[in-house]
Amino acid sequence: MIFTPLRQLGEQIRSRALSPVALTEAVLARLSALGPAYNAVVTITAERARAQARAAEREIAAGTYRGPLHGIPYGAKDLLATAGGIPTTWGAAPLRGQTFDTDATAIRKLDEAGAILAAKLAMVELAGGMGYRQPTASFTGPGINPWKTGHWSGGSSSGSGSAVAAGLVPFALGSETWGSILSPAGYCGVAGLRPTYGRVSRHGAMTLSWTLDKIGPLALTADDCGLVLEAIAGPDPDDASTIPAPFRYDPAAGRRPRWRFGLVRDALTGCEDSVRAAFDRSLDELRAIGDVVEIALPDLPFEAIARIILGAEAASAFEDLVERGLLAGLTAPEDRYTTYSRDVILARDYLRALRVRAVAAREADRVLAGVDAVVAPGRPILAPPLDKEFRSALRGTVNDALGALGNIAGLPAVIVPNGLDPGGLPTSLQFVGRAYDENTVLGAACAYQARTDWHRRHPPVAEVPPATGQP
Amino acid sequence: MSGETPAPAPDDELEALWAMIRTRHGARLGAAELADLRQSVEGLVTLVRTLRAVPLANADAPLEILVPHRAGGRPGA
Repeated sequence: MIFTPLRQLGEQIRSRALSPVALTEAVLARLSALGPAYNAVVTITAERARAQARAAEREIAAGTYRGPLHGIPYGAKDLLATAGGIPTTWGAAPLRGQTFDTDATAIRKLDEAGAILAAKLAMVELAGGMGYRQPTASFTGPGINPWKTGHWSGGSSSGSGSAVAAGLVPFALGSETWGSILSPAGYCGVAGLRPTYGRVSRHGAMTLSWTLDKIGPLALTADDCGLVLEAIAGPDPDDASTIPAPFRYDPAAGRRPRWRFGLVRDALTGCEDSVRAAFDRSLDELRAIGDVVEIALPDLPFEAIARIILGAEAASAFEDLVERGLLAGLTAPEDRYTTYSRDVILARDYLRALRVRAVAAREADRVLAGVDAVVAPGRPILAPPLDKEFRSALRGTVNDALGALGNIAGLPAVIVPNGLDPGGLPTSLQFVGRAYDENTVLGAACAYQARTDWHRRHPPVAEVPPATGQP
Repeated sequence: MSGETPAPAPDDELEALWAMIRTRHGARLGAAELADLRQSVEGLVTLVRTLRAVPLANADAPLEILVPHRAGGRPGA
């Protein structure tokens, strides 16, 4: 049952071949035994998980089946509020004991889908919004990559990436402001979905940047991500930014007799050799199912737009933490003061960034309307070593025009594994689509995964003795 | 001709912004942190100038809008 995609797990549970209680005990055992090895877990929510698992088993036995996630455990990035005294730490040492009275909407929706919350997962402190530049920017320690433990799992959804990759949970929730789903998914060799902005309610989630934050799934396959997105998406009166229409994951809608993929000129600039090699092999697969055409993104400063918007909004969002003097307790030294620099972003310059963003979004949509999805390497580099500063788009030390554009325009993206470098670290491929086109990018990624087997490869993870039930 | 490179003109805007930062936050930072912060400030000033160079017309509005609040949601929601 470990490393089994959700659709198969769900069918085993629906047919009662697999017990939600047994699956949950196995997951809890793995989280307990292996979570610390990857610094992936903040809190194992065992009591809540066992109660939910028993309830799921009763319901299914009585003939009530809620859907493909019913009875399936998951982990949630620790910026999603969870009630019942379960801490929600935001990855920040000064907030270790923070609790909330109600669940975030995404958590509540997964409850309604019958999924089982097994753990709150580790993250970079304050989702990286203070300007971190090293993996050790969390009170839980650096996220450790299950493929190669001297390397980072990526961030800021560090635990979400490593927990899914190591088979600790079948799926996880992460969030992305600029890279925080795609980075851990890509570095850990799993699938990740950054939905259209507004697709998933952020009520109850920590805010880093009001107009950039998105919540999305990490899982073993793109298809799994589609199943999770349907469960967590939808309008929410508690979040005015949510899209008024529901989302239905429709694999049929995401199929094409022949695909049209856009490849940005200079997409490989700055990429490591093994990333380039894997991407070239991916292009061969994509050309077998469609056409790959060169496109040019609008000539606009996407990264400047993203960095000014993110900087101004993060400075405001965390104002109270600054005033309360809590920055001094953050783990990464640079996180304790870098936000002060954002005082220089004047209101008029922030508004200018928003206005140029609108221009960029319209011009990008014109380009994207000519293709089904843009394809590019998921990450330009392999997972960095734990003991070094890493290159970062947020700090401008690596180019990420597509990531900047995708996030400022609120566009959906799916990332999937597409190789392993000679040293054993994953490489990845991303599909970026027009706003609201999650079914299309998921369909493209599924079509790629139907022709490849990178998603069936898993890191060398220690065996865990069979679960024996409640202690 | 002496061959000397003239000193760059002072960046009055950058220095005024940096002075504001130092006034607000300087007392709690050491020399290395201030130097690092100065680099961040210079980076941000470069970014805003990049954006200022993009021509915009009056009709170029942000995508962000005001959604008037009413408990229970807005009509049609």
